[in-house]
Amino acid sequence: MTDQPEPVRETTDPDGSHAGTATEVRPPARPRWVIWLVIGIAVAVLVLIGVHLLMGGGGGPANHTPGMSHAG
Amino acid sequence: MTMPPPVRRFMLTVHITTSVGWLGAIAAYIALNVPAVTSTDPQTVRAAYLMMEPVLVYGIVPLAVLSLVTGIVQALGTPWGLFRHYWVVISLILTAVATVVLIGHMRDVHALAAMAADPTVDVRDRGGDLFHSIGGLIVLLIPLWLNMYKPRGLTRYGWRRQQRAKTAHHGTASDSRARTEVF
Repeated sequence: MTDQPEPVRETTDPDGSHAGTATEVRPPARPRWVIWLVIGIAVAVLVLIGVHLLMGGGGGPANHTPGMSHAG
Repeated sequence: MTMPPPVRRFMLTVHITTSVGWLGAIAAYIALNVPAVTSTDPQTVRAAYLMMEPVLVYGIVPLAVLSLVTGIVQALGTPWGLFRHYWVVISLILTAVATVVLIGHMRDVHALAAMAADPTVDVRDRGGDLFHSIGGLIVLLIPLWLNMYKPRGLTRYGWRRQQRAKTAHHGTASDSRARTEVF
C-alpha cells in the first residue's frame, strides 16, 4: 500500500456519462475486474476440489497413520 | 484514525517484509517438497518431510499471521480503509482464508513429520505436500498483484463514505463563504 490513495473517479455512471439529473447520485456499478476475479477464483476452487478428490478423495497425510503403508 | 506518516511508513515496511517473507517461506517449503516427491533415497525423503514441519511452524505460519495483522493495521491506519476499495477487501478475504487453511493444515504436516520420524515406516511415494503449497502460493500471488496495481473500484460502503465526506466538505465551504459575506 502506498501512503495516499489515488483519486477516485466513480462519481459518474459506469459508462462515464451523467445519465441522471444533476442532483441524482447513484452508487457506482461493481467494476468488471472484480466480477472476473471472483469467477476465476470460484472456477479455480472447483478445479482444485476436483483434482483433490481425483488424487486421494480427501484423504490427507493426517489420515495416513504411521505403519499404514509398507509398500516399499 | 489515520496514522502519522513515520508510523505509517514503519508499518508499511513491516507489512512488506512479512508478506514477502511469507512468499519466500512457501518457496522454501515447495523446495523441500521436490526431493520428498522425486527422490528414491529414503533418507533424503525422510529428511525433507522432517524439515517441512519447522519451516511451516516457525516460518510460514508466524509470517502469515503477521502479514494479515499488519495488513489490517495498515488499511485501518490509512485513507484506504478496510472495506472501502474492492482490492483491499479481496486481499483481506484471500489472506484471511489462506491463513485459516494454513493453520488447519498444520495437523497434516505434523502427521507427515511424525511418520517420517518413525524409522519403521517407508516414507517414499507419499506424494509430498505440493498440492497445498503450490495452491497457497497461487492464492497469495493474487493479493500481491492487487497490492501492486491497486485496481480502481469503490465498494458501496466506500462510495457512501466518499459522498458523506463530499457533503461535509461542501457544507464547510458554504459555511465559510457565508461567514465571509456576513463579515
